Amino acid sequence: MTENQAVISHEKHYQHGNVVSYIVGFVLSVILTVIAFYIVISHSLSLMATGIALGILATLQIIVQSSLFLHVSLMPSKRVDLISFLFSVFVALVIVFGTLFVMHNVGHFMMSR
Amino acid sequence: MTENIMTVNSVSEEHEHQNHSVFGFWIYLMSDCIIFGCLFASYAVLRFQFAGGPTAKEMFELPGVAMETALLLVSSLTFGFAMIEAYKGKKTGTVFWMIVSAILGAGFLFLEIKEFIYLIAHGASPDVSAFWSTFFTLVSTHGLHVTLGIIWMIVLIVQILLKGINSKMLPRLACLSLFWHFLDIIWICVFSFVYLLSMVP
Amino acid sequence: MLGKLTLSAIPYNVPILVGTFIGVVVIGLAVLGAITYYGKWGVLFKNWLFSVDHKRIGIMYIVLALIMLFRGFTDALMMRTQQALAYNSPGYLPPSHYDQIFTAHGTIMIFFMAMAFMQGLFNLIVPLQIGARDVAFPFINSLSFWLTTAGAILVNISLFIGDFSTAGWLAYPPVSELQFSPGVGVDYYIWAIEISGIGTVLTAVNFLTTITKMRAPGMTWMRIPIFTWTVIASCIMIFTTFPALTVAIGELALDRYLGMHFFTNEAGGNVMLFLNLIWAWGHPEVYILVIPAFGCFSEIVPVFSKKPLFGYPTMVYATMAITILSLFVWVHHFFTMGAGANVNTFFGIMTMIIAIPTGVKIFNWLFTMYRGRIDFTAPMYWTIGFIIVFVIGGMTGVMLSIPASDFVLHNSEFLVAHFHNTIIGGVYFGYIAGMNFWFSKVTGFKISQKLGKAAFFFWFFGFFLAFMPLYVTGFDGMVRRLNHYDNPEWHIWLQIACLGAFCILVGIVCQLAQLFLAIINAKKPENIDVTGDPWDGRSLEWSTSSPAPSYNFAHIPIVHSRDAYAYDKEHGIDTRRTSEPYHDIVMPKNTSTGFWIGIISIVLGFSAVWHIWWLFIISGVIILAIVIGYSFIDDKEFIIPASEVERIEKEYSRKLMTQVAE
Repeated sequence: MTENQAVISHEKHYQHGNVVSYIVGFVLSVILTVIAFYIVISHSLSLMATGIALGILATLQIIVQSSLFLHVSLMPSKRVDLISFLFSVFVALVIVFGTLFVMHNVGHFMMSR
Repeated sequence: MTENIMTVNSVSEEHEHQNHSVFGFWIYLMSDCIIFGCLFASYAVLRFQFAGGPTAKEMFELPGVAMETALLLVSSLTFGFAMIEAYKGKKTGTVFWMIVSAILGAGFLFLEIKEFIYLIAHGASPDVSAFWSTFFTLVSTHGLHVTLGIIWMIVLIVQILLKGINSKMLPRLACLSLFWHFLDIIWICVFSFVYLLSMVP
Repeated sequence: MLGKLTLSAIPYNVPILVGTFIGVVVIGLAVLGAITYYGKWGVLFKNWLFSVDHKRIGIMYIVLALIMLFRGFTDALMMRTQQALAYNSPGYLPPSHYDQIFTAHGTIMIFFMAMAFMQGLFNLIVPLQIGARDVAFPFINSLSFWLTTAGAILVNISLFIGDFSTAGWLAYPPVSELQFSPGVGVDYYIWAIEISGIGTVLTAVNFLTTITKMRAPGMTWMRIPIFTWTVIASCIMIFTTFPALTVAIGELALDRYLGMHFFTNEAGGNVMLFLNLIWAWGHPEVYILVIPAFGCFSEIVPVFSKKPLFGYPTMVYATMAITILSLFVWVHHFFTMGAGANVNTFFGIMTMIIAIPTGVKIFNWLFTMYRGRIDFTAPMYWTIGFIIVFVIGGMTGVMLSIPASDFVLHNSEFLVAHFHNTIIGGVYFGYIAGMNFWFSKVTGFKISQKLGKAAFFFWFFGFFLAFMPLYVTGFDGMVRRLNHYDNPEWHIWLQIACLGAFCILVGIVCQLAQLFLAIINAKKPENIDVTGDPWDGRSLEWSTSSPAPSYNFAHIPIVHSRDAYAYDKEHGIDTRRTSEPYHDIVMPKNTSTGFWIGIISIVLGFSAVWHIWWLFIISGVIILAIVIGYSFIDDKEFIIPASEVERIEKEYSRKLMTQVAE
């Protein structure tokens, strides 16, 4: 197998982006990041609203980067990758919010805060 | 049933030669993702525990953070270009974009270390309070990953220069690209929930 | 130069330890001498220690597990005799030594006995069951083994240099913080767990990839043998929850080494955060261990009942349900920390719910046995014993899941009885059943069923003698980890428990005799497993010879149905496809890389424990250099020529023919 053939055969195995998709991902990320910084610097929202806005912006940017940079997709050949990705994010969220739920509650009742 | 066997027969011989490292590395990354999840959980619990010491709002400086974010994001993009070149089998292009990514990554690390030195010099060291313990742990775990990513990049650059881009090199590059983009995704959470959220009054 | 390490760290004035040390040295020298005398050094290193063959790595894991069982069980006997003697007297173990013993017992039994045994079974069975020639990453497999071993060795070094942690098997702060544990014990614990934890995560990554990508053609998800399904579940839990352990222990290490304040009493640290994180790993961990044991039973019951498993799909769904639910129950380990009713109720109810899929599994096994023609072999004894013991353990678990009753029973001997009830009855019985079941597949010779059954009875009755009394003392208010006591009501029960421990000792001796006799009599014709299928097995591992050739399958088998091999036998299909021409087979080369990384990891951990920072940095750099150097090697495979494959397969076919002729 020559080098070029090897490379071509690998194109079938790995889905990857092109210049356009990377630049689109980059521009979207820049926009979302700038909005996030702007909200905080301008003090335009209350604490609660800023938290929610930052959460939404970060989620959007994670979706943008995982689909355009990490190439997580709905394609059948990548289904196991997608499931493992979603499950891990789910577990991470369970640990973060479960911990907050439990620790907030215990702090409240034990008056340690 | 016969149909089933026909299709499976044709794959069976090719079966063993496939490279599974990209999938395996993906699973490993998921595990790493949960490590960061646990670090964020610790951070979320301890985020107001300044113990009378310096607070986050007093110490953080957003321009530096914005600069770090920019460097990491651009290096994510340039590594994407490196991958495009690699899939075309172009050695020089790949190495060029990888060097650019590595330099941008090193710039990120430089800013981060500068920030740490500033913080420690101004009394916000990790042994002052629970907040600074968890802040330094979370951010420097990310920084350690970036360091390993740069070392990995250098190793692969050397290997490409020695051996060219072949069927063994592409999965390695694909793994590194997953790692590098993944670090950028973690950084989104760091700048949003650690830096920006702390600056809100 | 040597950090905190001085001559006073060596406990030459403690007679028990000096005796143990002399014993270890004598046995060690005897083993080394025997290897030298028989000239087996080359074989040992080339064919075993440097091997990347999953079958050999599996055997090494189980040898490690049995050695650690010996260590852990010795600790158990010492604790039981101490408690039997220590009524109104200090007993023979001073508190600091006793505390190290119960800490070491828990740590070793979970991390280095059960986890090692489990990974051994993964290695031995999974590739054979799914029709693969090896795991996806053979080198990483060897590395995982050596990292686990490095952790085990670090724990055992603490016997003779310095001391071990006295903070219990999960090292709860604040007692494990520098303020209350200034010695090196907790540091040994930290580094042993972190190093072996990396190995375990790598194993999970490896096996998930293997099972996802390397199944034999035709083996769809719902045709995967149940044991392999349970390995999937276990690996998913490992790669999703071991990070919590890594982070919790890592943050404890940062507190101890860099003076941080995660879990300290001052400067805003939060002790309960540690409990929260570590149990986010800790509860899934018991499922990580027990689910593969369920897998063993699910393979054993159908084979010896001579019918397919009852309710295969429900078994799969129940396994996956436990995997997910296990993430939502962690707080039941610390109901008493003072959280409100809503938190405790949520986790109490989740804990009760998780008992349901486990119940489904029990019924599946019972219905498989129902109207089957049951062969009462040793594995079947262990299985039936398991059902009895585990159901009792499950019931007491549901009692503990009620927060109100947990306030009474928390950290009492009742709890100790409960988790031994599930871990011995579930995990240990399961792995030993599996070991008896697959022994001939792995070694090529049979193991004594009679001694296996004797071992079972001693274990079974010994278990009830040893742990039922603890339920009673728990109700009587006895807390766990007591060094001595003055309550006359507990005394008799603790003496009975001690008797039970010695009864279990007889069981272990029977198992050792079983292994020893099997090896001694390996060459006897009646003991050789010629066919590779002594039990009329149902899954693919029985379709190849015992032990399997290095490439496992000359032709990758084609799967037509669930219980693939049973289907082939029923329909007269030649699973081995002997009529087809043989091809060259590409196999991974053995490598010493994993071994050396493991050895240097011991040095790394040891130097960190004793604050020998120059050595720590050097060993860290060497490990990095080895990994990078290894990535430069391209030539990692070798070819078994078709002629050699043909010779091995013809030989096996010839043996099969003579067996049939007889």
